[in-house]
Amino acid sequence: MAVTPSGPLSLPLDNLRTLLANCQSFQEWVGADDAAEALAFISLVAKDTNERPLALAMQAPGRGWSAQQNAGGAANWFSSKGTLLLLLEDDVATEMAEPDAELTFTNLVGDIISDIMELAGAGVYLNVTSIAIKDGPSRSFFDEKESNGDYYQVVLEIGWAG
Amino acid sequence: MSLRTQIADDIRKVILNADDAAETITYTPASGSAKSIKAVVLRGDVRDEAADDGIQKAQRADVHVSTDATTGVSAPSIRDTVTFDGLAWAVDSWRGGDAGMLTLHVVRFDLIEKSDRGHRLRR
Repeated sequence: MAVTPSGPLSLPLDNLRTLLANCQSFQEWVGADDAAEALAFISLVAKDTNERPLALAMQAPGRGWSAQQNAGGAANWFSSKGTLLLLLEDDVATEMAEPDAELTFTNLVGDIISDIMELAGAGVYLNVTSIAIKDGPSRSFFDEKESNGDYYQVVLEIGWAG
Repeated sequence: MSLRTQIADDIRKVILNADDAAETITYTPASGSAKSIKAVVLRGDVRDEAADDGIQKAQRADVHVSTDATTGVSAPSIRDTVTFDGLAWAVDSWRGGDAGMLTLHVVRFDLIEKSDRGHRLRR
């Protein structure tokens, strides 16, 4: 990533990346020793390979950023809020049947969500105000497995304010 | 020779003749062993398609095969695969089978970009 995210639109995306990288369960998932190492496993905007585990943070088109001015007596200030998307993908272990395949994945995602809830808003971490599932969890369709593999995917909507 | 026998003979000797329009493909049933069979492959459109999670290159083809259990495909399944052009394709659907031939509709999707449907494509 040659461009450093800055300003009220890009920073929340980068902050979500930082928050996720600091989640213990995410570090364990990707086999990272620490947050700095885990950062390498989190892409922004788009990804053009099938490498998994995959974490991809994106703006949520059409449900995005807004700012509102607050009256504070002698001083006014803007507060902003927005929604980001977090796509998580992991390969299914060979020949793993259901429900084990889905439960393995949802256990993992659940642990990451719990970690996000614990860290959010603390210190420098993104102030997450809501988490919802946008898509999934879903397993890759049979006609995709030959080319893209057998994997599970979920897309989370991460609401934030600050 | 009955008409049925004659048709089957034509399928083997004429329609699925590798010296003409046919080629050898590999057919792999979802449960069972792979085998080499003759087929006439009509390669379809190749296009970029928007998926819920980004963009993929979609390829489709019709694969004409005999319904003979040994030299063709007698009982296809949607989880079977065929291999030609060095790529594995998924059997998506099929039609025919009454006149000794079957047309398998096969598909292949390759990732171009993982993102979100709402993002601008072909960036």
